[in-house]
Amino acid sequence: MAKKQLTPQQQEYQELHSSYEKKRPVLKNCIYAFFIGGFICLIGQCLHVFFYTNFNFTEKTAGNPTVAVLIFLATLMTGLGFYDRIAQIAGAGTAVPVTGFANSIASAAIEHRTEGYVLGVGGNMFKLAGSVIVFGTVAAFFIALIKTILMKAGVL
Amino acid sequence: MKRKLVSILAVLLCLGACTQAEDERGSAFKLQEAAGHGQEASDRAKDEILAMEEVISVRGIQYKEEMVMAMHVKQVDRFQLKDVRKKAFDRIKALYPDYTIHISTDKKIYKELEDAENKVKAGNLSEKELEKTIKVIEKHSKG
Repeated sequence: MAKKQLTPQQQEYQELHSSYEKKRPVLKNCIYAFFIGGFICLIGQCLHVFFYTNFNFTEKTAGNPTVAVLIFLATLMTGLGFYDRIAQIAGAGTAVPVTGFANSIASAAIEHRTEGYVLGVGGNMFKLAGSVIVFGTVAAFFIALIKTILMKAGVL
Repeated sequence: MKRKLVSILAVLLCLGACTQAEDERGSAFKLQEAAGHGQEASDRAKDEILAMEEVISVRGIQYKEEMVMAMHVKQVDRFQLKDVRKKAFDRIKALYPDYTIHISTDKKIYKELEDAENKVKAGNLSEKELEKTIKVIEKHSKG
């Protein structure tokens, strides 16, 4: 769709509007996202070390209970309303780790609880997370396909 | 502007945290003298693994012709763990072609071998217990 041509008055208004518009603190947001996201990862790493040190897990298998605990904590915090407050400050720092995925499912389920368990919670649970699953699966399929072709060709 | 520069510098400092301590190589924990029973092959294998550029420290024990080794790899080389394991395996296999060798980079197995080494050094591990320990660690390294 072609962009609508603005009249001189509209252009003047746009300039005036943008001069009053509050600038987004991009750098500050990046720093918050970096440190809070990093802190979530640090908690994950601590849990990982805790599991393989104190229980019968190896470094490889300790990843499963670690992810389970992080998902549980994120879901609990979403239910109690803490996670959204942190997400408002950290943005992508809370959305990128597995806790963000858990939050997207839990918050959608809570939001649609009033519509009933089956059509409300069950039907809308993956409203946000569905796209992540679909594109993740499709991307994994194509990457695996490329890897297989390269391995057959002897490149890898 | 000044605040922005300070923030950028702070982030760069955090990102570029240097890991000079990583370059300090640990010495291999020799068992033959303390144990009094066949650990000479594992001692030699430790020296062989420690000679590798990617390895910081190594732990390992043997029982007859079975050997289990675990190593700490430099952070930057942890992207090629599979290659590092293969390289270490090939080096030890060249020394002891008849041995059953297990090489691991798993921190849990490293910790278990550390405990086993301490027990061997203290003389608290009999032949039978040593065999049992090796079996347990092998099972972990496969799982």
